[in-house]
Amino acid sequence: MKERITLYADEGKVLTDGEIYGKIIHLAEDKDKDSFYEITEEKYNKIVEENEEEEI
Amino acid sequence: MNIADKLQTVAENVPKVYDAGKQTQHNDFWDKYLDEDVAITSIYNYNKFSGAGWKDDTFCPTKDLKVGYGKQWFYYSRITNIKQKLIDCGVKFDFSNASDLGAFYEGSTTTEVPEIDLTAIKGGTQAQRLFYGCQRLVTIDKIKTKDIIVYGNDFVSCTALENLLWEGSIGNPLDIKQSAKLTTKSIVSTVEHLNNGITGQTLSLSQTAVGNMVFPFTSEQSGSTYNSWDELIGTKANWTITLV
Repeated sequence: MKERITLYADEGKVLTDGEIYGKIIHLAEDKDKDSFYEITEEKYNKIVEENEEEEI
Repeated sequence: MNIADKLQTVAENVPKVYDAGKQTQHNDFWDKYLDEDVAITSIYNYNKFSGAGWKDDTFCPTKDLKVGYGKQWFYYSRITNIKQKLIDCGVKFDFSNASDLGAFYEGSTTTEVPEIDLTAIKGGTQAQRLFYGCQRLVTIDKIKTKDIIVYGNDFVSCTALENLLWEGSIGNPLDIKQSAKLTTKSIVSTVEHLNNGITGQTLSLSQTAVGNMVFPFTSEQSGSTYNSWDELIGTKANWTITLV
């Protein structure tokens, strides 16, 4: 079993690197934790809503 | 036999004749509707059972459903349990020639679906929005997949989803974060089928679902036993796993 770096967002915030989002993020071995930053849940929900409306 | 008896016999047989005619009409309809050549080859065969007109009392195929161009087949249909209806009607899906399964069940009210096989799809993007908006869906028996399949909003609004098994290899980002009721078995199956040899991919799950997992858990599919969440995801160190 390999150890992972896990990032935790503060209350009311979501972590992102601009592509992926999470309140808890277990990073893959090749992911750089310094590329992650926090955004508000409100902003996150807006992004999710826009992405979910994409048509095929 | 006197006249009265004859009239009595005729009267008794009227419902049988009516039912036989109805059954013939039913079979004729389904024979034409499921014409194999059309089903396999025609791009005009999308939306096969879509819309509010397809309900429990209108959906009962008489032969296996050979899916070719399967785009939006059950798009917003009102059949309450597609898996059970197929069992009751004695038929099953054949996905061996499926070329496009985009939005196959999108918006459907079904609670259960049988195995769906994505492996015949030649491109990657013809299986997006598979279960988009299926808010009542509880069980997906199994998804047979392969690395090139791209999951685009496949599980959006699948908030009732509990049971989901995988077969094959998941090689692209997968998002099931809105399914907070997923069982331990379902989450373990998902993680176990993430491709071990690729980098840069992400699995998104519900924090609630992961928090409700019960360990130790022995996977029936692999025979492996996991004593904790960390042990489970430690087997896929090449994947980033996010909880929302």
